[in-house]
Amino acid sequence: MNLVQQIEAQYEKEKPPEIHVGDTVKVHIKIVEGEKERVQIVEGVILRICGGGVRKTFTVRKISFGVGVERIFPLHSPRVEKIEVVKRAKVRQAKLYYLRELKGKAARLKELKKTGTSPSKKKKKATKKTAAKKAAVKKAIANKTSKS
Amino acid sequence: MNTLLGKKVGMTQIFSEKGDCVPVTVVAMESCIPVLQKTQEKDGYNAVLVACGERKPKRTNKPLQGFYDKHKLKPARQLTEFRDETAEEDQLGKPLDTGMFSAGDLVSVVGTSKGKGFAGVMKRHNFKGKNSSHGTHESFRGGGSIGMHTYPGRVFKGKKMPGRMGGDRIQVKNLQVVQVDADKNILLIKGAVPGARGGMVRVTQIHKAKE
Repeated sequence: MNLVQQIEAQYEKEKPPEIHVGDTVKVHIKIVEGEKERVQIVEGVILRICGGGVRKTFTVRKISFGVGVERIFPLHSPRVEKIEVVKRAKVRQAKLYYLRELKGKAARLKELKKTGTSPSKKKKKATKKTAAKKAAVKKAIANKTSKS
Repeated sequence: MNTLLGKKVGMTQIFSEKGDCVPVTVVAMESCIPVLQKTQEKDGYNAVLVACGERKPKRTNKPLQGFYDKHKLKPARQLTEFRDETAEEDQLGKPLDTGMFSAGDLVSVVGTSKGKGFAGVMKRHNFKGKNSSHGTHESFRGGGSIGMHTYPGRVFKGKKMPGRMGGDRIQVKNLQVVQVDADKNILLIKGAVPGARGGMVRVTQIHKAKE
């Protein structure tokens, strides 16, 4: 890690929320008005994810009163309190700029279904299997050494 | 002493306590050792001679090596004088650290800007150039006329024209120190600092933050 990365690491969130392009999310933003603090929620589709390290940002697009509104949030900003993923969508592009030209029904995205084998579940199973294998190998080695 | 020499590492951004995003330049202070104090009586001016950074012994010539040997130093990347500075007797021969700075200080930063080569007037002097349409041909980025006719019959001195740009000594004043990391000997300075990454910059404190 170079010096700049080391400094960036201090300001990154420990567990950055797992978001992908095409997700419908609720972003909880802290807003300070005078001395009061309140939380505002912006719900929309993630259009793009930009940058890396602390400089990572994402753009949320929503239609409010018939007008498309896009807001850019720094992912690691302390003002972004929480990001809830409402829906996941099947997406083939890294940037969904084409949504800007679409309206209503055409602007929908195909939802990813949670049922079936999600990639994360598959990984877990695999690790369990490998762990069992490793344990078996260890046992065999232990037996051998004790015999000798 | 309120001056240090360091190396520009690069830029990034950090978040303040309020959650604001602050652009910062990372300046790593290299080993910066005051060698000699020059005085009004002896040398005609006050200054501190400072050896900064590292240089391969192979690349050091014999007279310079002799100087370093005399002062029991390793060959340095740069030998510079800080004018009108005074170093205490016990500071000589020991590397300076970032302890003299604290967050909120205002500093001036001197560096060598990036070389741009032979640049035209639009880039070099912010001329407006010409229209890309309405009958313009072969001259889109030119500077236009450079003077009058028989009177004065010459081009005035200082006329802004194309030429070498960049690679100059540039000073930027009133930059704010955002953070000081004493362990790593790092300064985080708000905003941009002249020069390319890896270049030497001189940081001088010009206003101390109120406690």
